[in-house]
Amino acid sequence: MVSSKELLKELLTDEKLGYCQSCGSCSASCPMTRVIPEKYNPRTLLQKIHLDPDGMSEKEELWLCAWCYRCTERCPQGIQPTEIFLLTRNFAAEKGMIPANPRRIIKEIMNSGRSMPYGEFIDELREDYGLPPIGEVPAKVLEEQRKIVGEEFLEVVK
Amino acid sequence: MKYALYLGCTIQSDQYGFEASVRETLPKLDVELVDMEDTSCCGFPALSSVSVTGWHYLSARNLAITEKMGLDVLPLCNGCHLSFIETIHALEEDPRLKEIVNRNLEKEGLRYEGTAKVVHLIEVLHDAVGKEGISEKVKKRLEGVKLAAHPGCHAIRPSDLQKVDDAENPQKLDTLIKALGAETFDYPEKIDCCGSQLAVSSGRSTLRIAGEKLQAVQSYGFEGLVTTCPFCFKMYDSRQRAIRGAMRDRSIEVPVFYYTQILGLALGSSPEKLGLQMNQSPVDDIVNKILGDD
Ligand code: SF4
Ligand code: SF4
Repeated sequence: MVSSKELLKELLTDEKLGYCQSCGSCSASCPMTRVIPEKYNPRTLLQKIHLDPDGMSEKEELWLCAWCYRCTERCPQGIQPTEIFLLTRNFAAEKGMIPANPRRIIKEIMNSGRSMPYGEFIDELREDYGLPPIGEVPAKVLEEQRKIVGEEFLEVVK
Repeated sequence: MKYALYLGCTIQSDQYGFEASVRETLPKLDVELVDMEDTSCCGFPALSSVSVTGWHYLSARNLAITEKMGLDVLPLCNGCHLSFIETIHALEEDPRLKEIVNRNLEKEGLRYEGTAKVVHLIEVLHDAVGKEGISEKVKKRLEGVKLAAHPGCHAIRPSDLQKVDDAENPQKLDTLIKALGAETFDYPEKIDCCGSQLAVSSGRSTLRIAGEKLQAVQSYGFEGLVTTCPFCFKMYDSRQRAIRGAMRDRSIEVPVFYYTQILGLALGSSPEKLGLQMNQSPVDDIVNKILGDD
């Protein structure tokens, strides 16, 4: 298994994050900073992760990135904040720290193969709109998938 | 033109209007869509947040199915599209990861080589069919209707991985809107995020992100907002009432459409066939304006 810690370490090396010039372009482009500046700011979040990736695992702000890639697009130094936040989340998850919401969705994916629950009513609704049925993801596929994602990659949500 | 159609969780279980309008319109433009069997979630962004490796496995699994079909794949959702693009890139960069993924795919007789191309709906319509290809089939021009384009983050960023359109100045959706005879123009908030990725966990903040954009769109005199992403659509359309509440602004009233819905109206399809009865934003006046008296 590829550990997120390894990947994260690489992104946090001085050759990468060390080149952050604290210009704040990331924060100025961030939609979350626009609405909750007191709670979320990618520039300072990056600094905190750089100083203490371990200590960030239980912090709520780690899960407040809306995934828009604006910061990554605009950083003049080619630092990829979105990627760094993703790997820091992975790192937290490996220690079992996954907020309730992603945990619920992942359980759903493991149980049904989909991020939204499937029930027969879905195919009934689909029929009303002239759409072909989707049916359940075959049990064999699900079993395999649960084994692979659960056992190999995702101890914590088994 | 023939593509494997990857619906993704949100569209197949929730956004019937998008799927119906895609199935109704694309064949009229000579785009053949082939349904895929035994697909599963692409893993983005919930699973990717906790296990990058598990995510790439799920994403590659769906790509392996399209490889087996011998077709390029059209994922309708912006999120699934980016997920596939990211996975192709990650497995190309990291042969070790590709091997882990393939070792697991083998268990169900699948193999990922990276031979299937991933295309975006905007690319199919703009680059393959083309604006002339569309305008020559238009039966009812959307004359005098002003619509704002919202391509959505995951169709344009990050630009080092995908080139659906320019990351800072996307124009393809605008061109597609104009091909139907409707009006559109650039506005400062065009590439702003809708906030939907956090809609469930940080509801209030994201309703404000989306609300500020809807207010802006309305203030510029647009009569509607057009997108091709199911997440953006849900944010602006289905949550518009909640947005009004969060912004304490009852005047927010923006009809929201999937591009394929207005395309369908222009091609002469009935609103029912395009799933327009499912839109929760106030679309009726614009639909009637487009349909005219007949
Ligand atoms: S935009 Fe890049 S260089 Fe500037 S503060 Fe953010 S991460 Fe650092
Ligand atoms: S990707 Fe996340 S941190 Fe970066 S601008 Fe978007 S919401 Fe902010």
